[in-house]
Amino acid sequence: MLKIENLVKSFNGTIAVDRISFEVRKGEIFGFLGPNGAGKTTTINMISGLLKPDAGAIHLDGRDMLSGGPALRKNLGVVPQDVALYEELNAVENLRFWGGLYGLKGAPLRRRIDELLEATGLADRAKERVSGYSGGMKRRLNMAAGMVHKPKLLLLDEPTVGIDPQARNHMLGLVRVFAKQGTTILYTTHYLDEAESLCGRLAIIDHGRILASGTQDAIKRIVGENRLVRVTGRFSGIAAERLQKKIKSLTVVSAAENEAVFSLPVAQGTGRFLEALIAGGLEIENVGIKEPSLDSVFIKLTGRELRD
Amino acid sequence: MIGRLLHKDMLRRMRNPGGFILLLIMPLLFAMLIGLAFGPSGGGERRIRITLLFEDRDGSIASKMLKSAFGQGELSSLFDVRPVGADSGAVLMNAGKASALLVVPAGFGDSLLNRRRAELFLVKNPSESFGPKIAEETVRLFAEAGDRFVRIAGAPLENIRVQSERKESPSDWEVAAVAVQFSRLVDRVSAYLIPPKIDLTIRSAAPGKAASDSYNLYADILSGLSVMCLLFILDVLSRDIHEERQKKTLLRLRAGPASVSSLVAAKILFVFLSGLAAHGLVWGGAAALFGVRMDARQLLLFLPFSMVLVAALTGVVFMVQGLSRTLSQAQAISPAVIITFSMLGGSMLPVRNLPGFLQKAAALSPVTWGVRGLQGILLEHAGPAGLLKPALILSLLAWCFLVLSFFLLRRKAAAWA
Repeated sequence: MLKIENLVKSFNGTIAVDRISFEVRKGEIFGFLGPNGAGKTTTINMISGLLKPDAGAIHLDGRDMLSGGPALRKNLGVVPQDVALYEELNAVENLRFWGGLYGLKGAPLRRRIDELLEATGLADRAKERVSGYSGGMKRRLNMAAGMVHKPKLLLLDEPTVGIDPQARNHMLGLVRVFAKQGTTILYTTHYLDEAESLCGRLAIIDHGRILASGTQDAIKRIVGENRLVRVTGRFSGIAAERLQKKIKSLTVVSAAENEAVFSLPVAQGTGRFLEALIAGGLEIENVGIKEPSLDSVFIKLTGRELRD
Repeated sequence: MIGRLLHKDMLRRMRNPGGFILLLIMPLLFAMLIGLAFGPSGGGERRIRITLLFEDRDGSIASKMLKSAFGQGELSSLFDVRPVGADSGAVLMNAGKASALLVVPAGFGDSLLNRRRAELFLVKNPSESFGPKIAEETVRLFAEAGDRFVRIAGAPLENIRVQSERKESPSDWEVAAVAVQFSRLVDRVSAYLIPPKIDLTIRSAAPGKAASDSYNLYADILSGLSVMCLLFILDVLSRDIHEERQKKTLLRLRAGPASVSSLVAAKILFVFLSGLAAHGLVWGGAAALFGVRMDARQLLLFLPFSMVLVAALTGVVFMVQGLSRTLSQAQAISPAVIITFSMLGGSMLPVRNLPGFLQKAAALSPVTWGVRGLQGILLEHAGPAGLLKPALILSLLAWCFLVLSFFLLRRKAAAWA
């Protein structure tokens, strides 16, 4: 449905998005996972027409989005990271406006507004001004405003940022409901658990580049049947790197002053590995072990955790 | 599309009308305060009292007639004539208690009867402007009228002089003869001699303003104030484009099917229509509160002129928004622009009171032409020909500012992300 090819965008010489390509299939929730500043929002902005790419192509159902003009954007629903609503108006007036902008009117618009208010749990406060809503309620209405015209593709840009766990669960539930109704969703997030629980396929992005993409299982296989061991203490990076020569099955993911990350086959016992570390002269203070997951994939690919 | 965007902005504005109403009240409130300070309540006209000290050193019939002349008709409501002695007059003048001191020297009446040169002395109070001037003009008028009278009524005056010098009283026949002479004289010269009625109504307007029966002080004040306040109203409304950018709703709009051109055009149109409504409400308020009325002819000129004026001012405020990168920048720049244009344009003080080079610079301010046009319609009853110049200049400014600001904002809005 959505095909991104070699998309490039730079700002004043700094490359924000560097030749990224991926494809979102009809009816799926595609996760776009990466830390803050990785290039997720820049990519969303290019898809929604807010930014013009320096190079590359964006196709929606085979039609070129870059030369298609505003009319093509009717097929998109955009839920921005920040709440973008008219706080002086109430929920109904906001949805009526956003729906009307996409050409909806009369009874179909009224029905759609009722459906969304019901789904978002805002029906009983629909006539209240948005300025009086809680953060979670605003987020839900923000999402409903992007869905009012039943878009083919919904772009969700970190919709759960800054809300409490209860409101977050509500939001994730809404995403599942919309997906069940047949909406294709591109979901950007820096929360691994969200990507793991929502998305069948995903792409991991960092520093403007896609590091891995595909199904969750395929991505997890990047770390193989390995667990990641993060060690902190008093040692040099060189000392940590020397260990690779001593233990053949060990891979050094990153080695810095006082901190190193190693990839270790699950079959190999952790105890023997630690003994080898100590024998190698490393003064160890802390050891963290990660079983194969998206986080361990990210660490394996970037040498740091996603929350960094 | 533009209709939906307009409706949304209108709805938002109606939900928070406080600021808008306050801005509408501002010009009316200022006009009321200025009116109360410098003008009367109600009709806009007033009469002033001029204290004239009268020192009669002559004591003749002529000097008494001169004194009583100040108490006749309209002049009686204007002059407060106080007889004073030789010393008290000077003392009162030095204390600033009167506008002028008129001294009738001894022998004044005698000189008149003998058709010799007669003198009057007028001492004016330098700390006052209008009172002494009016006293001077009135005395000058009396002196000229007296001079003409002496020249024309030579024969009867000679008879009176001769009879007054005789010891015995004149006979009935002699009195009747002088009376008949005067009567014939008055009949002959009445068309030339009797001066027109002196209407000395003093207006509160600045000197040089064309006098008119329908003059309304508030219309005068509001012509300037309303244009300045209109600029402030339009400015506040036009900032919404930056506010929508800050609240991210503009970005969301841009991600939708509306083109950037239609988004900018809708904002400009909304501000223009709101400005028109505000302008109408201010002048409606002025009609209700201060009796600023317009007849059908004035109204027919006022409506199209207001459209041109609001369009030009809308262009000005959107130029500021177009040249500003952020909302805070716009908030800093716009008051400076508005106050400069208003100062130059006659919103705060008449353009003719500005130094010469600023008067020339005033031609660049749309406020100048707006104030001039409104004053033309409301105070001078100008016709279409009289309004042509300000209307044409405002149209040109409107066109230039609106087109430029539209392209500036369109380019800016397209780059905002």
